[in-house]
Amino acid sequence: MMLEELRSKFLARFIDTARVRLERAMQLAAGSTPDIPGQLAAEMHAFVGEAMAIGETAIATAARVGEQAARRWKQTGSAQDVIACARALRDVRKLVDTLAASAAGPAVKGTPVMTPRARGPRVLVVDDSELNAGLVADALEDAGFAPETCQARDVEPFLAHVRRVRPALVLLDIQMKPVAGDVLCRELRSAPDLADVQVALLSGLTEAEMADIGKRAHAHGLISKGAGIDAVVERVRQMTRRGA
Amino acid sequence: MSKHVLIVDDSQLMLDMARHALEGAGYRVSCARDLGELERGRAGEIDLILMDVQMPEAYGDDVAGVLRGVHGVRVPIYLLSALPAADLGERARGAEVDGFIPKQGGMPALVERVRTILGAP
Repeated sequence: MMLEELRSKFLARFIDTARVRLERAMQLAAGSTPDIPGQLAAEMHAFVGEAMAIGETAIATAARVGEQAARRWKQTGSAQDVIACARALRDVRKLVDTLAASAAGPAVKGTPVMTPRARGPRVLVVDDSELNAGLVADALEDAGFAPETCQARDVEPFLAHVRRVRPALVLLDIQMKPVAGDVLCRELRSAPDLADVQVALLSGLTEAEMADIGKRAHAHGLISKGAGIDAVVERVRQMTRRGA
Repeated sequence: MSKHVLIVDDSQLMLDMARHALEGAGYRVSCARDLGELERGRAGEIDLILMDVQMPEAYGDDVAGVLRGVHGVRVPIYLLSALPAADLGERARGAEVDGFIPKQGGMPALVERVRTILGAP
């Protein structure tokens, strides 16, 4: 009885806190602060405790997987652990969204909460950080887009990939190795057969700081990760609408 | 006057939930989010300290060790954490605290343990 009372009093705050923690994890992944995995692990650890306290064991378990993956990532630095961490964050996000939907109840009586989503415009997310690409793709998928992630090690294979995928929009992180996003943008924009593909540069810099780079690279748009994941999704929505 | 529990945790949500649960069971509760608040919080009469293990400033088991060894705190100190029970048990033994309470059981289990440790409020 006490757990139910606790849930009814704290569930909304738990969901809000979860979203803040996930947003912070996203910003951590996008940034260049030292010890990203260590900070992610700490964020997820606090989240595990909160989920346990309110009786959300599935969320606690998923967050624990994320915490452990972040700790392994810190130790090994291996791409496998980075991917495992991104997947766990995605799982946590989905569970929190499901919880939020069930807490809110169906919008209209009789309407099922889970409705199949229409597959929206295809978006290619290009980032040398698997974690970052995964988080952006996940948020886009939740918003109804059909995202795909990739890494670009060289210009020609990358252009060939874009030709195959034919996305409505390519999101390019600027600070990528070995080929920077603005270089790939310029190449994409000068390919006549890809003129219908919108290209946006994505960065932890502000849009003002990106302005010169964007202009030189002939990008259709600039998207700052610093504004948060919802703002990134909104800019993608605007750009794909404009491009449609 | 009812028995007084001091909870140390860096998550405000966790503190608020624990306060709600323990106050609902009749205990008095003080909360501390960091070492500064802990220093102020332990000035009053405390019957039990519940200490989170992984906090940004320090590990709770280290803090507990200092409270015991340096400040001579005699009231029961329990580690309260989302760590797996085996890890938590090891840390509790290392820190020479009175025991540990895993967060896994949620708030009902926490209240039950506090009742076992302190008796009725």
